[in-house]
Amino acid sequence: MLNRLKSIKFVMLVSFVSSLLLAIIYSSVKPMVDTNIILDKKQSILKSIGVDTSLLSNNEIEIKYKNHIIELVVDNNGDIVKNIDLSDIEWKENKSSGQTNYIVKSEGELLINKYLPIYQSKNPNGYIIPISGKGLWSTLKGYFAVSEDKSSTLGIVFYAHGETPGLGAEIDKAWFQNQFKIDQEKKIFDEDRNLKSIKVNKQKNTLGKPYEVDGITGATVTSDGVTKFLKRDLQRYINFLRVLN
Amino acid sequence: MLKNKVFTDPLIDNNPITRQVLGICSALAVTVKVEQAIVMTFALTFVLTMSNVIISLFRKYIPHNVRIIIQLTIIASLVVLIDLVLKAFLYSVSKELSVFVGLIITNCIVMGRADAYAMNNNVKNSFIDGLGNSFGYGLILIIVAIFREFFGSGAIYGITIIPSSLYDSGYIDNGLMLLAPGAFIVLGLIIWLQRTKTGFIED
Amino acid sequence: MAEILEHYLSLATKSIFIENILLAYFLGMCSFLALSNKVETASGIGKAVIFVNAITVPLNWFIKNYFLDEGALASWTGIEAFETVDLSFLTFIAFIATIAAAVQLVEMFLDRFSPKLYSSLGIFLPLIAVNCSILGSSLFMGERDYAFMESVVFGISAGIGWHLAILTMSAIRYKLRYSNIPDGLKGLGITMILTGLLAIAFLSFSGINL
Repeated sequence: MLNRLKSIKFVMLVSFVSSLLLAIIYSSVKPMVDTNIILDKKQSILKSIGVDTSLLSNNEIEIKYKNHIIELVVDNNGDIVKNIDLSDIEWKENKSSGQTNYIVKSEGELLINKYLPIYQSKNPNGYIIPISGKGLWSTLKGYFAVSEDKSSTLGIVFYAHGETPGLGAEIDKAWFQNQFKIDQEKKIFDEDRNLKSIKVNKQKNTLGKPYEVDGITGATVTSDGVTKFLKRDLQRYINFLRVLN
Repeated sequence: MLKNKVFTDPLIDNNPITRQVLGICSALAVTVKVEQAIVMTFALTFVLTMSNVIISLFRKYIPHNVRIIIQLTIIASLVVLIDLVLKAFLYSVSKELSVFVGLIITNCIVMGRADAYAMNNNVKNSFIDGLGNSFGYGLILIIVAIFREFFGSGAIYGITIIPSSLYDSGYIDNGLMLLAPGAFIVLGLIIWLQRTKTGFIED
Repeated sequence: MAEILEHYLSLATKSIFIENILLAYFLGMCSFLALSNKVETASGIGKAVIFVNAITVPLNWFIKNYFLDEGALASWTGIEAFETVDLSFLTFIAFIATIAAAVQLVEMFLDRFSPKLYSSLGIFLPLIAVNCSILGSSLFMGERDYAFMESVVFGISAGIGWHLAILTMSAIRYKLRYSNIPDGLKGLGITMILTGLLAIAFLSFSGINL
């Protein structure tokens, strides 16, 4: 009995010490991690339009971001909203569907998905839409860029996911993402301005097909997931995307 | 060190994967490409040696009937700590390794060696045991990855080996190699080879 | 009422057969390969896994929803300052701690009531604690944000699925005793190849949507 008490006390001591240690490290490291996350998002946005920032310092990345990107907010009708900043929007992940809910606090009320974040890019000119959804093991989060005509794809980037290295994680590789670049001539709208989105096709024969890209062999769930949530997230911005300025 | 039995045993004769049957889950998950296998080996070496050392240091104080909980707490804390430090200082690296983090905590090798060796041996030997098991693990991982990447994608370490002329004349990558069944079969064949050479027969 | 039953039934069927945690997600391999040689041992560890899973997934659900998630602490203590507290970095440790405690319980139980099983399990009894399928079940529960009842059903079913897989393998290996297997392939080698074949068979389930 005494032995058992001693063991329990020891376990509690070890748990306490390790939790304390981790908590201390976590809180001291958190500001650095948060900065890293924000910077990483900016790098991803720039990467989606083809601006490579991998060798730049933090300051240089911020400068590039200011030069290329304008943060905008649109409403469900597709109109640009001037009195709300992108930073006013809280991004909350819906755990079961992987979709991101955009929440704005206005006059004590919580407005969900009424105002959506979007990024406008200069040089190349285009628009960048945040996307998220379920893969096989995790929620994928990224950005999808279209050019000025709001139909030709500029690029795609994923800044967070937990997919299998070598399978689902191939979405990070150049061979996959290059298919979305402007020279590949992929489009999300057909001639009648219907939303076709991009299908990630398991077969590797999509060269020349404007609404499909090659998928990842052995990563069906991840590929299908991307197809599904890309269309779902683009559908949210449909009123904005349909209008050509 | 090459003569030290504590180091050389786990390389082939007492290999963690093929003999002790530990660390299989990750051997399936991260052997699709050689690059991942190498990263995982480094990560495991780091964690295994540190956890063996820490547990060996405290081995005289850990009560037997709660040793599992204590060992796991130490291992999990270590891995989470490394992950936090990476996130703060080497963010891009931590993104690549984030999947591996969970795989290392549950990697049976870390827990298995902690309970089987570090609890009963001194710090120096525990450290060497950690090194030996990590290298033995890495050896198998890299061999399996070479097979899977070669037959599954026609490349090794990302460098395409199979010439495009072969593809044009009808050669297709073996997709099954990219999935877990491929790993099992390759592993089975490697075990066959190893045991035929060392003469070990299971009853 | 029937709809609720159907929901849980399809969750159970999915977790046991279609998304079998061992043959479809490949979690829990080490113990599976090492302990499938005798039917009694396989059955023993299978039951242990069901037990540990059945307790830990719901228990971890509590921990996640009342301690770890952002604002979770605020929901029951009522202290406003806790609204922004996010303890999810402790997820791994907290989950593993409950699992380790459950395994320690199982070990004490077996040591007292079934020493034969205890010794035949050997090192793999404490290794249930790092059995990726058990931690995986809890992590899936968190990732998919199950409700409480769902996590109970999922925990039990995932355990049953694992038990089913190891029992199947031990039965096959039992039949193999009289087969003419080359020396180097006996035991672990042929089990690997068999698992590969079983896995290919279970791949056929992957298109089913329940």
